[in-house]
Amino acid sequence: MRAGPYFVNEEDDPTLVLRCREGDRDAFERLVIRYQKPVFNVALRMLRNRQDALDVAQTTFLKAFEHLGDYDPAFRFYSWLYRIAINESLNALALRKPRGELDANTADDRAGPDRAAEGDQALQAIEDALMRISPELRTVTVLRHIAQLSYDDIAEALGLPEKTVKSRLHSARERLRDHLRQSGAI
Amino acid sequence: MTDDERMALIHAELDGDLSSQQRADLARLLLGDPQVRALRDELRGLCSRLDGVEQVEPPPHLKDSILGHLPSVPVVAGYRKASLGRWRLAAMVAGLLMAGTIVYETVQGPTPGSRETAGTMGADTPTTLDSVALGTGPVTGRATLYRDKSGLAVGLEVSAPEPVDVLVSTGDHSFRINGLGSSTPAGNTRQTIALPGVRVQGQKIELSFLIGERTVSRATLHAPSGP
Repeated sequence: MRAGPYFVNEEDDPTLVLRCREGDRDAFERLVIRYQKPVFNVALRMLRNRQDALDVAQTTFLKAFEHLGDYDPAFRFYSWLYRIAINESLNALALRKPRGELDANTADDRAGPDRAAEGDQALQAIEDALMRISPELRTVTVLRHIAQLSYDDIAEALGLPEKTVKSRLHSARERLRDHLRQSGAI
Repeated sequence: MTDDERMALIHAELDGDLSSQQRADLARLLLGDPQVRALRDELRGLCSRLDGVEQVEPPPHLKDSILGHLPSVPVVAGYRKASLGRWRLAAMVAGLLMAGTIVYETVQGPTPGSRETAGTMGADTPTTLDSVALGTGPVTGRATLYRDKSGLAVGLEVSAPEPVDVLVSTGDHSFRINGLGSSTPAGNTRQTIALPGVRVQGQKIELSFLIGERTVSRATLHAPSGP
């Protein structure tokens, strides 16, 4: 006879996901605590709207919970989670009125208290520029520079070759620089 | 060198991807061309500003809002969705169990004796293949894997202060048994779950014990490789 039952105390993502799949809601709570901030921030920088970002963050976790059975453990959990968050953000953007007008102008009043807290013209210039590039370019920029993901992680999250991710990021940087120049921020 | 090649070198530097040869090429470019130097400085500054964007704290209610909206399905919803076929299969197996095999409960005895199983699961004395104690947590008792002429069965002898649900996973099949440990005043229940048609030779049978949807204990039974 072997040793008795074992108790799994590890807090790594795969273990927590496994526990979630077995119906352990506490394990899912641990994942929410771990990833609510990065997911919220990705959505916030994608949408530049605090309420929309909260909605996207909530939807992201609820969809993750619903689809845990579809999650392939061969992939990193957070890459999968970011993929959902990005898709939800893109959906939210698609529901907005003509993108050019709204994206460029959804700024200050929508950002709410964070605007005052951040209160930084440089940040505002960056946010303005981010909202002026296409969602596809913004996605790679946000994942790389806001979420601090590696190219490998971004490629996994977006289901793109790493080469494509780099190419998009290079285009994004050049567009952002152009917008910052136009606005006199650099 | 074309403009695209210059830009590629600058981006490669920003990405930390420069080879030593490229590094030397870029250094030469930067020394000889002020425009390239200005462009590189702008892009470096841009990346620095992007990396410096502060992370905003989500409101405290976000977590509670998420958790409050989770479906109250006993088994996590995604698992249910992905495993719908598996659960249907489990339901079919359960139906077969009702028709042709036995799920029986009693409150005493660590293993079912041949007299207890006479005319039910199998008249022959079951062979114990593996058995594990359930430790010192809120769930105590023993899990035992048997084989008799009808096939494999898992015996659970459970004692717990509250009803315990048990997930039995054999890799291809999953079963859930609800409310163990709650049928007697002492909180002791013994239940045997037949696993007809389940081939687990050489495989593990994972048991998860849940109280209020929280996993409080796990155990693993190992089926021998032989027939």
